[in-house]
Amino acid sequence: MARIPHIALISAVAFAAAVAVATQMNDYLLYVVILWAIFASLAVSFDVLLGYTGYLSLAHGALFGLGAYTGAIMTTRAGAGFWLALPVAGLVTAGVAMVVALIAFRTRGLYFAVLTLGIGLIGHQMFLVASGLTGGVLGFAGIPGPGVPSWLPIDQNLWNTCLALALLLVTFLAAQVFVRSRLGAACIAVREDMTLAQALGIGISRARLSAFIFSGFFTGLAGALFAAINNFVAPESFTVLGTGFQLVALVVVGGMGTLWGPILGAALLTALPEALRMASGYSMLAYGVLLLVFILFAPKGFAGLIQRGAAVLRRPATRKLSPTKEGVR
Amino acid sequence: MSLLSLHNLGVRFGGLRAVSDVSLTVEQGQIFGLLGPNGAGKTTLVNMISGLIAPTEGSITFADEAGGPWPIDQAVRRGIVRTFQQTRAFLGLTVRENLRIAGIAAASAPPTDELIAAFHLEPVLDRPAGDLNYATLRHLGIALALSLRPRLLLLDEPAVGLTGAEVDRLAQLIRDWNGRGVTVLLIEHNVRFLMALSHRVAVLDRGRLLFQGTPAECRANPQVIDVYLGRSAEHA
Repeated sequence: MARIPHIALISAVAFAAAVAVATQMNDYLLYVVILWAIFASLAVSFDVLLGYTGYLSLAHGALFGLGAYTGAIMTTRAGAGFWLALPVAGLVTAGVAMVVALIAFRTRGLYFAVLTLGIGLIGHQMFLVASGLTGGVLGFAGIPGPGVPSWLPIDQNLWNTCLALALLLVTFLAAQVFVRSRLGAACIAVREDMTLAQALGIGISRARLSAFIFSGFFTGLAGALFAAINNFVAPESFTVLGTGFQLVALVVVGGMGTLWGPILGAALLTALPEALRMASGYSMLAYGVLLLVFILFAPKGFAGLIQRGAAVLRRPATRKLSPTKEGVR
Repeated sequence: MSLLSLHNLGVRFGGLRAVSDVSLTVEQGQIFGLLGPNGAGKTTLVNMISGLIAPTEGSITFADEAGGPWPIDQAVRRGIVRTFQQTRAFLGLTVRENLRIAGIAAASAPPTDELIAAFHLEPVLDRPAGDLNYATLRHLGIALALSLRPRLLLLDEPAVGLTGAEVDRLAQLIRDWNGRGVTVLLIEHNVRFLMALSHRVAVLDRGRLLFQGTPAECRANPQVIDVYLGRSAEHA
């Protein structure tokens, strides 16, 4: 298992490289990178819940929206700055995630998914009906963006890109720390065999609740940044069938329980609609076909393909008896 | 000195009385064997002691602390740890990862290196538990429980499905860990294995305690012979 300092170093280098590449991009490409980084952050934090505890939440589209509206309301109605609104959005979303989790963890499996689906639908409906706060179906416009510090000689789009990449970096490192902690190990035990986990005295309630709250916090941060960068949010961005299922797709296509896989999944599934923008009628078709192909032929996602490839490359030299050594979870 | 005392323990599942009025004492440092035909209530009794199910009557005293049984996490904190009749391990994880996870709830550092050596797990450390052969998987199941440094280890039919040599090796492992201070409550259908290991035995029949005493007394008890051992046991 790679150590946190090594992961932090590699991640920081990747972040610096991404920023360097971004300086050479036009505004359109920068926006695609922003979308990718925000959805990759979402996917990484969602992977902590789905990939490490095995619980499928369909409430996360609404939690993403809650973070976005909290950030928007804080900066427009409460007069708070972006840097205050961002953590508050994370904390509010984490708090609501805790309540959702306390209700939802009374159930398991399919029932958990359906219960969170209900919560996701309620959340989306709340964004529509609480129009005094959210702008209703017309959306919430005029959200101030994260201003570029006066000492930094870059334009707004590049600054937005840096923030989105920084959020991805922080989310990824925090997730790495979480899954390597005792709580993370307990989450894995819950996913693998809950009865055995109980018999070993592992606090399963605390573990899965922590994973849900962790995921909620970073989902809220992503939502607030999404709102600030777009200067606008509307309920259609936070539907169960849209963002809710998209998150599942990002994690499954990327590779559940790896943390880095969903970043690749987000890259593929963000780039694809953009690449097919000229043939928008085929965009969702291609999206659907891609999901089918991955589920049928690469159920462990991108990460699984890469790990399998690495194992094949290693095999002639070491002749290991064991089959693929999946990433340490 | 008694470690575990059951006081009139029993449980009903609806109209079915699965275990009724069981009182027995397990002394510190003992290997205590629990015998009985299928459906006698042995596993149900272990489920109650370990906190997996709640009794509907009676109580437990453990290490001079009354008020049990406790929920399973609290039972583990007190040092009561169990294995399962059908071996459970985290099958999708490697043996090394299994041992790491099993140790997280341990009050003190788990004796992982000792367990790896004792249960001969070194060659399979990086293999998924789901790929292990049956005997090694059973060893892993017990090693996971021992990671918690239990005071009382509840072994639910650990020898089932093992060959003669594997059973002998398992017996030696149980003796070794018992020698290190782990008290063992052993459920087993393999009478020879159980009698050879146990300091004391109890026999359950249809949820009730039929007998409690030494293995020699058990073999000679007419009721036990009638209900469970059969006539050949008199000469075993």
